[in-house]
Amino acid sequence: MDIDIFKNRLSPQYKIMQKEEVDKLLEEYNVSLKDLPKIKLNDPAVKQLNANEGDVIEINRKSATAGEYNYYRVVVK
Amino acid sequence: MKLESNFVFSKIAALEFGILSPKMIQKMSTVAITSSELYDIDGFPVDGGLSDLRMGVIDPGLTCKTCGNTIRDCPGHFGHLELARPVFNIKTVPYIYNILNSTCVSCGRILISDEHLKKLSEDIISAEINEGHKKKVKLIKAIVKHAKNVTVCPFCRTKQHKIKLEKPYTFFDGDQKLTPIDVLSRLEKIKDSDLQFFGLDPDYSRPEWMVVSILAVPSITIRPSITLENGQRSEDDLTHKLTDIVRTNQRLAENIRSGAPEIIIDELWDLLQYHITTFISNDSAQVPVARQKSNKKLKSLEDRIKGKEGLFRGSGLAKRVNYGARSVISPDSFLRFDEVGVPIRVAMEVTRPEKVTDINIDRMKALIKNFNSYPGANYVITPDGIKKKITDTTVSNILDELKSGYTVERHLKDGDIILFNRQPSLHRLSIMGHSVKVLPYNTLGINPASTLPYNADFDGDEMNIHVLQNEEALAEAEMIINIKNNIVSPRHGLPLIGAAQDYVSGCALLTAKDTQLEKAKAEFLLSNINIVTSLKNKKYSGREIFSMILPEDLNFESNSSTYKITKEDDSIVRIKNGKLATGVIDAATIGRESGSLLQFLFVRYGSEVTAKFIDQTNKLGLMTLFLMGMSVNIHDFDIPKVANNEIEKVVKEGENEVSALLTNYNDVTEAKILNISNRIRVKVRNIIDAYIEKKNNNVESMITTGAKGSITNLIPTIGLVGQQMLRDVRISNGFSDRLTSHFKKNDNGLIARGFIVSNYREGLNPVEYFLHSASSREGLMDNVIRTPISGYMQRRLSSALQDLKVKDDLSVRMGSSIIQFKYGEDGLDVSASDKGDLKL
Repeated sequence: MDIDIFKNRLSPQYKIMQKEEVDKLLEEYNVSLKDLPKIKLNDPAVKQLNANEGDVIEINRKSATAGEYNYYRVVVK
Repeated sequence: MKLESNFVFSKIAALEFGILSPKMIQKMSTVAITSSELYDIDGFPVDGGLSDLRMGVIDPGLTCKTCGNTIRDCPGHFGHLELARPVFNIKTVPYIYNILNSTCVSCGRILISDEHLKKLSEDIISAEINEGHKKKVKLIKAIVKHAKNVTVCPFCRTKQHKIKLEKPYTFFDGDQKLTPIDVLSRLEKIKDSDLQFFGLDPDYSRPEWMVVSILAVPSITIRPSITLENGQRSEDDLTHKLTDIVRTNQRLAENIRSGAPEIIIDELWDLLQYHITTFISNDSAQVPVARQKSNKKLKSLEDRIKGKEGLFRGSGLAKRVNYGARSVISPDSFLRFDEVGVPIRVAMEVTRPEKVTDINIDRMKALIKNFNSYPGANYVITPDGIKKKITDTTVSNILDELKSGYTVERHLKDGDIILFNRQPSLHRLSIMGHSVKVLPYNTLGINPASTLPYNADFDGDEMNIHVLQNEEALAEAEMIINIKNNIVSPRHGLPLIGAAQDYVSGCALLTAKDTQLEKAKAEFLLSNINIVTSLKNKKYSGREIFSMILPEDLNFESNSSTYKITKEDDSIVRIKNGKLATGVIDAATIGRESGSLLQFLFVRYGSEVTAKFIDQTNKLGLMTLFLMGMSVNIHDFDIPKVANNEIEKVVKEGENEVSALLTNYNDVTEAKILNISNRIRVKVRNIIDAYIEKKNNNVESMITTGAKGSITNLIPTIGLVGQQMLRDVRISNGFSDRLTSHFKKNDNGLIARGFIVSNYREGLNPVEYFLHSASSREGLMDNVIRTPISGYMQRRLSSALQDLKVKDDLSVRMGSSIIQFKYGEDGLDVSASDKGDLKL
């Protein structure tokens, strides 16, 4: 891949979460991994992050209402 | 009979759908239909006829010859009809077409080589396990598509030719017509092991079963006849269709037996195919619709299941209720906005259950005694759950046995909380809790202030009420979905309930700069809003009166609609310690979908204070108009001669500009001309704005206070109507090279292409009027076409989103899975904040 899609001005910030962070998140919302929103393994952003199935990705987006907003998606096949 | 013995206790593990085989139909069948007669001369069902008693009973008192049950318990039993010649089931024709085309003409194998098949077979199995059913279907479609285009059979090397389907149900192999018998024999040749590539399981659906050779005849319990008043029987549509089928089948059989010419047999065969097709589906393409004598479309089997009135949407998912009422609505300004006027006849019919206790027993007894007039009761329910109607004969017994623990279904009374609803229920505010006010009319009364959330008006609208039957529902109606708690919209944080039209005019008039009221008039106003104070013998300003309904510690400042237009400092609303110091109270402060004061009160003081305030302002506005009056006169629309001259000049200039463009240039774009006509409009608007009489003009005051209307509405009324458009361009067409015969050919000027220089007050000339109608009609047509489309979109959207909930951790979820981590990303309730912000 030659294009860095994260450099696009419309692209939000992506980050693979650490194990501890994920556990904290799941505990906060009292959910299991399957209840999180999903993102496909073949999503361009996931590919560029080199994330694996089961990883949780933190997406920091600009929000019209909240300024900034974190969204969490689990990588699935 | 014990109820339990009717049940089978086991769990459904899976469902398998398939096609009924002729063998299976014969096994299920209790009767072989042999006669097209229904009843004999004595009126008894004919043996072997379509209402044979072995297929079930529909008359009370008779017992079923098959199961021995009566009308209540007999489930109905299938019969069967052996067809003289097989026919296609119309719903399977596309599948038959696919299968015929992807299997070998001579050996019946699928047109894919053996080694390939092995791999595909594995693929299908793994696709279903790993990627789900959808993927499997996709794969099968791809296989069939591939097999269709193979020209030589990989097994027997026969050259394949394409089989054509002539809609609706005739197959051709080259020029040779394939009868259902030919198709049947081809389908029978297909190997069981090849069927998986068509998504079929040979145990449940062999392809030859798609051709009907034995017709399953549904029991009479699903097509009952009804007896009319004159004792005549009227049969169900399905029975009618079945008699057609049986009769045609008999004729066909006879003709075959007697060796009739081929052509007659084919004709009857085709007729049988038609009848069976319309029996299954009466609106397939290119099949004429079967109708009753009255020209009514016959209901087919498919019609019973499909669509809005079908089994799923019309019966399974439909909801019907008791304790509901529906009537035309009428405006009633003397109701509070959270009330609904309930006709006394309704109040006596739909009841509320009330538990009898030691405390209320006397009151309950009085209600029961009064059962046949208004504050009364209809039923009593004993603690064992036995429901007793209160009548002349039962009333004394009921009164004797009544004790605490009983429930009385009593008439509605003032203050009961009920649900009020208007369809289409597009939002949660379409159904809200109101309190009852029993009134001696026949329509449901509603304060015009609360029409906006329901989108109701009084041109014949009907609304529904639902009386709540338990405490939990009652609590929800009173505390959560009550209209008082929903004054502020969750969409934009502005009040949906507030002053409109004359209420706004009235309040603005009352709170205008120099409004002074004598003591008597002030007392009249205050008496109408239930404020009792002793007034001094002096003149009161309108603002003083208005201040009496404000909370004492209220401090508030906001622009009024009037200020936005007049820019007078005195019009800015300033409330200090509950006193209105300056400012006109108008649409910007108390109007619906704009009232900043209402929104502030709701967030600061809560729903009760706001609700009371809304009712009081509305009443004040109304009563002020009672006192002072307000009317509109044609001269309120006058503009001075200078203004008219200026408008004329603007139009002249525009026309000249256009004709100059048209003469000097060859390629004048429509956009340029439209631009000019728009500029004319803007200029006219400014002229009207500048010259319209500002003082003592009630039309102008309605516009400035935001009660109704705008300068935009004045343009066509007293300025000019402007450019008429059709399909987004200036009106063209009509005569050759011109619009109508009133214009010269090839005139592309403003007037000649639908620019109307007249206005509504002076009147349009006939040509203008015609062109105006043309573009109005386009608007009406668009509206008619668009409404059902957006209605269906809304329906799909709400069905998709109906299970989303905001949990108490502010996350939005569907079941346990998370859709959004914080509602609206900021977790704010818009209706409880400052229009979605946290400035408070």
